[in-house]
Amino acid sequence: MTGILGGLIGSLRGAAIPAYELISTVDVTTAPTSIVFSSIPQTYKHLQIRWVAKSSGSTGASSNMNITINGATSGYSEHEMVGNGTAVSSTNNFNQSDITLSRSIAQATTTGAVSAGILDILDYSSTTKNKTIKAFYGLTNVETLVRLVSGLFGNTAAITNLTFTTGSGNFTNVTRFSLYGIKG
Amino acid sequence: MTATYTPLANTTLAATATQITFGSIPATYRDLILVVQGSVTVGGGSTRLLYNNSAANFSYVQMLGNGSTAVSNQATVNDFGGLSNTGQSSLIINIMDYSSTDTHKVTLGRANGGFVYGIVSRWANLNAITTVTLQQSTGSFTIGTTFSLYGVIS
Repeated sequence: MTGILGGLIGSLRGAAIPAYELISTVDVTTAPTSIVFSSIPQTYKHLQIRWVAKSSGSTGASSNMNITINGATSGYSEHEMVGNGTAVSSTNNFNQSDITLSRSIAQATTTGAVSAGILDILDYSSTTKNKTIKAFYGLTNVETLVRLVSGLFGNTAAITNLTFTTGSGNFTNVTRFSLYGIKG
Repeated sequence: MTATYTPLANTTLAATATQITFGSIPATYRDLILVVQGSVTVGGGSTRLLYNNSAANFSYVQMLGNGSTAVSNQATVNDFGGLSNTGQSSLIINIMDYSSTDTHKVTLGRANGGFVYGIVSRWANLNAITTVTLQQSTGSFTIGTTFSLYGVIS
């Protein structure tokens, strides 16, 4: 074998990229059904949410996660593309009460198994644009799924509140959601 | 505000290599992001990631499009797409909660190397990841290929 480097040796070690900042992290300890980010500062250009999740639900190997913005219960649409290890398929939903990330939360079927995802919301603080969301997530816990979702919140209000709700059971204590702001 | 997204290591190959290793990764971050930009000497292969020098207890699922069809497959490996042998291509790999000692490790990867890929894998191991090794299954990473490792706090 060649090219083994080993160690953390690099001229950029310790350097920081200040345009990407942590706003808040929720490490679950109380078995909630929802994770809420409220009073989101309006000083960034885009938001990113990174999550690792597990629920106590028992509807199968995974449960859905529903996303609402500013408490709104209408005006959401989405497209998704999913690979299940055998085939690729695509679906869409329009004028929904939330954005649903299907089969996004691993359920308590395998000790230690979790699901994970990354969600981006562009121009979240704009007051003249509807809000676009893109999500990439999946799991290989009993069922194997990789998903890309494109979502729309048909509302020009700035986003100040994000709520992530499990479709089955409660988030368990290995769950964490981290909210980041990206300057622009 | 605390620095959030920190470069940990960065290298550009001065010679071809079949394997690259990042070791002694500190446990002080939440996620790792690995960005690879470059090419390989032989097409049709994949870039396999080992964690803590182990290739065992992985499961992955991918979907890819090649311009005419979209397919999905799964296997008990930790493979991420295929870098191109005819031009520049890239991998962006997110290793989530890599330092956790109470969860398996889920990795999310996007790749392009002639195809477009989305990949999710799980390492069924509760140990914190301290070493990440990238192995090219066919041929070698070419001269000039860059590997950048970042830590993200939470």
